[in-house]
Amino acid sequence: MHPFQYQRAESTDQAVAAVAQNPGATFIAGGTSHVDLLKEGVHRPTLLVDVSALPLQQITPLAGGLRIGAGVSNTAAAYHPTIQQQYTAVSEALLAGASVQIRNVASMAGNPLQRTRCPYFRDPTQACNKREPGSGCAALNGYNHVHALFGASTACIATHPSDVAVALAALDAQVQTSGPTGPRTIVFPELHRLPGTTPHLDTVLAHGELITSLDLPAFAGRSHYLKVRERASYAYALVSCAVALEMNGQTIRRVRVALGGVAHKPWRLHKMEAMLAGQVPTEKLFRTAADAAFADAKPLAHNAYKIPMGRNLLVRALLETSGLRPLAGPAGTAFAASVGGMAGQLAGPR
Amino acid sequence: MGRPLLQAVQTGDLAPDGVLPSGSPLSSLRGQPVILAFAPDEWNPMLAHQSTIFARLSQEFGDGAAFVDTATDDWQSLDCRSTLAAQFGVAGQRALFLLDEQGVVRWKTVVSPGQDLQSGQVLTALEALYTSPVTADNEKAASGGLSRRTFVTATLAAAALLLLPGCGSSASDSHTVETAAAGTSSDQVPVVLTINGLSHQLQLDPRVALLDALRENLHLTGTKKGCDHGQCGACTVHLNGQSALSCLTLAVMSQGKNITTIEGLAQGDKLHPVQEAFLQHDAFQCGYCTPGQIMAAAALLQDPHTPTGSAVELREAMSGNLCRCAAYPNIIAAIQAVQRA
Amino acid sequence: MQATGQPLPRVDGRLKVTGAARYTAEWEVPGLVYGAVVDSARAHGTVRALDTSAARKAPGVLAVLTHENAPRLHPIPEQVRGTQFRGEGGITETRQPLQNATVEYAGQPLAVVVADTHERARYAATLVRVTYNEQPPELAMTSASRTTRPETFLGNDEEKLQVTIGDPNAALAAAPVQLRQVYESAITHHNPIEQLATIARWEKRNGTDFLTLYDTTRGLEVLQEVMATSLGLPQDSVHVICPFIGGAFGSKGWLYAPPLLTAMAARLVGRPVKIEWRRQDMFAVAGQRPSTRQTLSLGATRDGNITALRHDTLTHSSQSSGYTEPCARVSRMLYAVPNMGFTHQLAHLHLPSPCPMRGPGETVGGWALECALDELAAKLQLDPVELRLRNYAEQNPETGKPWSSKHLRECYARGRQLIGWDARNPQPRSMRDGSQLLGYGMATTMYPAGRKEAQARATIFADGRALVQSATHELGNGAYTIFRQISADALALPVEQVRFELGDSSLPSAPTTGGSTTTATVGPAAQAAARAVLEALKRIAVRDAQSPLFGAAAEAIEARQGRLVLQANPATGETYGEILRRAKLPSVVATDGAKPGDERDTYSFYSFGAVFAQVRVDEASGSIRVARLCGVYDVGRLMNPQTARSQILGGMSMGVGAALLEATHYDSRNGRAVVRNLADYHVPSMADTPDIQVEWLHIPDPHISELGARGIGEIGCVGTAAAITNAVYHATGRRYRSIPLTPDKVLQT
Repeated sequence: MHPFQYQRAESTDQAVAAVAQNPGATFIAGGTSHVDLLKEGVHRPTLLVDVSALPLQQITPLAGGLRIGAGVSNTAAAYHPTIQQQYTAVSEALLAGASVQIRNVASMAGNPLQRTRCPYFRDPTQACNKREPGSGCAALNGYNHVHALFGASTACIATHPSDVAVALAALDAQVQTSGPTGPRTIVFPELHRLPGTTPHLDTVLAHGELITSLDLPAFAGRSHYLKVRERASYAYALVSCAVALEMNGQTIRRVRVALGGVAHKPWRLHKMEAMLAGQVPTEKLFRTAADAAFADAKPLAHNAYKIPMGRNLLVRALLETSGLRPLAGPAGTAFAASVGGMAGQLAGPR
Repeated sequence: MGRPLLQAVQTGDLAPDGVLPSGSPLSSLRGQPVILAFAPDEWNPMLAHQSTIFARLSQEFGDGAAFVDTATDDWQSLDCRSTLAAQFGVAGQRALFLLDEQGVVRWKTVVSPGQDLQSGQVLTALEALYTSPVTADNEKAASGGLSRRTFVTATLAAAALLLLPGCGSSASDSHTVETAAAGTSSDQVPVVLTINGLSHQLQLDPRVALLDALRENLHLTGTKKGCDHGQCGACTVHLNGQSALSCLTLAVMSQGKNITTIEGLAQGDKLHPVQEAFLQHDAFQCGYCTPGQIMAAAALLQDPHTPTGSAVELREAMSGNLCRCAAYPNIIAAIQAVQRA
Repeated sequence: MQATGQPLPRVDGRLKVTGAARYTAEWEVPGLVYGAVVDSARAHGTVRALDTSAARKAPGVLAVLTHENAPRLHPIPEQVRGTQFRGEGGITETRQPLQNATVEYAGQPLAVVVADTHERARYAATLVRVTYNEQPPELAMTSASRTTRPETFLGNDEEKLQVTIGDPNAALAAAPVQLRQVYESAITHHNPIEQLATIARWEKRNGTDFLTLYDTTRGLEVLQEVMATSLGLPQDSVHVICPFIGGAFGSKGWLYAPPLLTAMAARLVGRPVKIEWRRQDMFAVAGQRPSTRQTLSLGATRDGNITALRHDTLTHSSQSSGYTEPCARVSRMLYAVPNMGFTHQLAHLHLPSPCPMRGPGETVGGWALECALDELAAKLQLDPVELRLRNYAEQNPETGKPWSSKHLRECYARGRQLIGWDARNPQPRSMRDGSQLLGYGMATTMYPAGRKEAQARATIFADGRALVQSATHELGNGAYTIFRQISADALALPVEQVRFELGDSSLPSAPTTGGSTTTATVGPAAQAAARAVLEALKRIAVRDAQSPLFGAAAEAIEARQGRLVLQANPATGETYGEILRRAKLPSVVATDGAKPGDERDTYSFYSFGAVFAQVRVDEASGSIRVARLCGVYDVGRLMNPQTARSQILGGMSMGVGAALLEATHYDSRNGRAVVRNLADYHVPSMADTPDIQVEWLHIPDPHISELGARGIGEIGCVGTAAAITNAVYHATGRRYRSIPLTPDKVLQT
């Protein structure tokens, strides 16, 4: 770890000012991802501004929707009754991620700001444009098992690792921030960038801009999150999928779908969403839609498996959300989200 | 918490006579320096290698010192709940007395319940006691000092003392422990940590993770380092009653929280039900991930949210704690046994 | 009642559940400073320059150890205690750390920064600038320019690596049914949860150098000898201490760069130094199971008699180690095959050194063999169990020796009952549970039942309690517990009255804990020492005019319930304590040892078992989960059924990891590990571990030792991966011949 100074912020304004005026400063909240990268020597801030004690810990109703304070723990959000019932995908994504210990500490704003699991990013001896702009991308022709199918560039093929970000993207959450130029709102699918030539920038947040809440707009449909991972639990997604579905009688009024593990950001399937609107859900329809969604996927040497995996996952997520296939476990739990289930005779509680 | 009835025997006092575990009186050992080490009558295999330290000393000094304790095996150690301990005024405490050839107490140290002894303190005390240079023809040191033989005995005894098992109940009333700083350079900041009900004032580099503060600065080594990156769960502690990973928590950020470690889980000699169940169900092998498993399970059983009704739910909820020995089926059985009780 | 055979809770359990058990990195040593290692970013070449100036100026830094200022070491021994160390087939690296500028693998230690705190050392290590004269590394075993064919495994003449029995090639060509398949297994890492660590402290004793090492080692004596030889010290000037090991599984025994670096760093700064290796480092310096490419060729008659078996292995090692994964260990003895041929080819790559990992050779070699048997059974349309019964080996097919004890048929029979083998639909791809495919598979498992020589010391104290000591190791195997049980019985004392201690190189000699040999090795030594101390006690009693045993012949006296009594009249006698106290003796001590006799010339010693698995396959995602595992084992007498069951559960779970989860990858261009943490290297979690049923035959081995116990540390790991792979075939109707069977492989086949 490189040396840094530590400061506990007394207020949001003070936190923003402290980071904004110091180019080496960053915020730290739960720290579960940040401390890992400090230890790896990937993050090298000179000042850590601790925002974990700021009064951003409430979940409050908001015009038919819900405001989740930036500092709310992943655990508190996952088990909040409104989130579990109305924004099921959020609970499922949170509970299928990390471990109890990490969820207890990780913050809701911090989770979507996790950095990639690309092994080249995390080893400072390797070339990585995200860690060290201009150094190259060792993953491009290296071991790219967990890398992107969509939206990558020759500068970076990393994927975004957060589970809940995928659910928040499907639900069009709104990100409220407080920054050096005042407050602003960012719709979640716009929060993260594609790598392009600036892969060191994960998001559109300015230096010193602090997320203060994640707002979930009113939603009366069903949402669901599915995740494929190598280990039955406590593993990052190979591919994941969040669906937010609103029906109009027998037909789809609106569906929003985001994939995780396939791009530098939660990957919204806008074209497919438009195609499905107004249709009657059937397996055949979903399969056709999924094939189309992956038609422009660009596989690398070691990640082509993600195409069939992603297609199948997408179909299953749509079937389960629309009630054409039963969930693998109770809605709003890790068991509903975990593809393959747990070891043992029963995959999950029935 | 029991307080000793008698005041501890003081330095300079003639040691009271009493009966050793062998049945002989203490006074039968006059003519040689004697170490008396009082500790709970518990087996502790970490002490095995002490036998060699003492064996080496015996070799070096021929008819040398008598090692009444040796602490290598509890049947020779002096139970801190024995009559002899009471005679020395240290009942229930971890204590060490060094008697010279005449049976006079030349040095002693008593560790209060709930405290841990640190090597620096002991060595400083001994260095202060021994002021004369050791030479072969300087067997008897200057007045007030110790003979070389007694000094060496004491030094080794101090090493032994560090290894004696802790004594009985830990303090339940909060009090402050000041821990010596590793240095006073400008990169350190004052940090106050509340651990197992005790407040610790430390000077720490802001980079120090809570895990390293526990293990390296406070010598609370029950919390384990398995990966240092939040990927194994061995470092699990409770922060305000919830399980958390101490490796991903900076010590400076842990201020103001109630930190509980495995050392603070049992109530004195009485194990926490999860600890007891782990013992009964053989829920560990090498034991290294075990404190983390137990802390995670103990928090889980208090957790109003996480469903743990079925084995499958428990498996999922405990998946953040890796066990390479894979005692998993036994861990589940242990947790279920606690749930049933 | 005998203590052995009872499910005594672990005697070190309380220490472990309270966090009081002290592991290597946890010793409090006054004046301790911290070492942090700088490792190589390149896999092949030389260090052109190492700029340590910034690191040396960093706060708290005491020194930087590099190849330029490191003490020169003496070469490690050729052989240590009968194990070949160096050269072809040797177990360890010839290379010693920081002796020159060459770089042979990425992750190789290049410098140690020593500072007053862990954080400062770690940071200063990032300030060391290294430049290289690079050469292209060789990282693929199929194209390596240097390959060897070692004759033996670790120099053991009974473990030949290139073997021909009969005429396998001719028999293969003549066989009516033939099968030839290639099986591949990935590099895997032991990943014990306790990371490697060493604390080294130098001092002068009687004017000469003395080194105390606290090290994560399961080979106290071997480490002592390696350190003494390398550092040019007499053996008794090195003292190694390790009362608890946080898991090893084959690591922590045979690679010595970590303790050597720590000792050199401590020497340089003149203070005790601790190096605690990071998880990332363990993918470079802690050893690994190499990847393998195994070709299995089977020839059989149409009714299922296997007439020929070839098992040809390509595997890899580093530039400086001859360690060769002995993949044919199972093939050479498991079935009654008249014509057999085994080869092992070793590619020397610019990768870290391998070393044994739980079931070395057996786990991946047995996996390949047992998968090939499953394929042959399918080809012959025979039940997989039936094929194995038709080729049941009544004696060792390689040596012709009879088994010391083998009851494998009973294992098959009970295993198929437990899993419900006969109720399954044997047709592949015929069983479903909802959207998932269900499958059943089985495999035979085995493990050699080795035994070595060991010594122990027993002491009886005047209060009637006793202590038995031997320089063996506690790494989760239950050594403290079972040797206490064995000692208690031999001393005729209740277990509470007896203690067993280990983990210190100054105790009586015991070998490295490995190869499932510890119970059979140290148990008899503890018994011998116990008997010797009772003999010594008898001599005291019979010479004491006040003893009721005065004048009795030693042979007429026996130990019974803590007393020495006359065999003919057990009422006449007295307690051990009474004898000692009257003699004014604080204790009586005796040291004795035990070693295998000529029974090994007569019999072939192996444990056996049968593993059955049920899996669920979600083909759409490629996810495979184990639903059930059943294992039935013929391992001789159990010393403690509770700790034994735990060891088997652990082994079987590691088999789940090998089958489905575990793989380490190195970058194919620069050789850096790209799986180097526990988030990317998937050790099985609790959610990956199914219900596991373990049963035993409880048949003592009449020849291995008086205890009748064979080892159980590894047999649980062997067989499990094959049973799972075969179950995946039954579920899907597809053969997967590469482990781990991760979703990408299922989806791409």
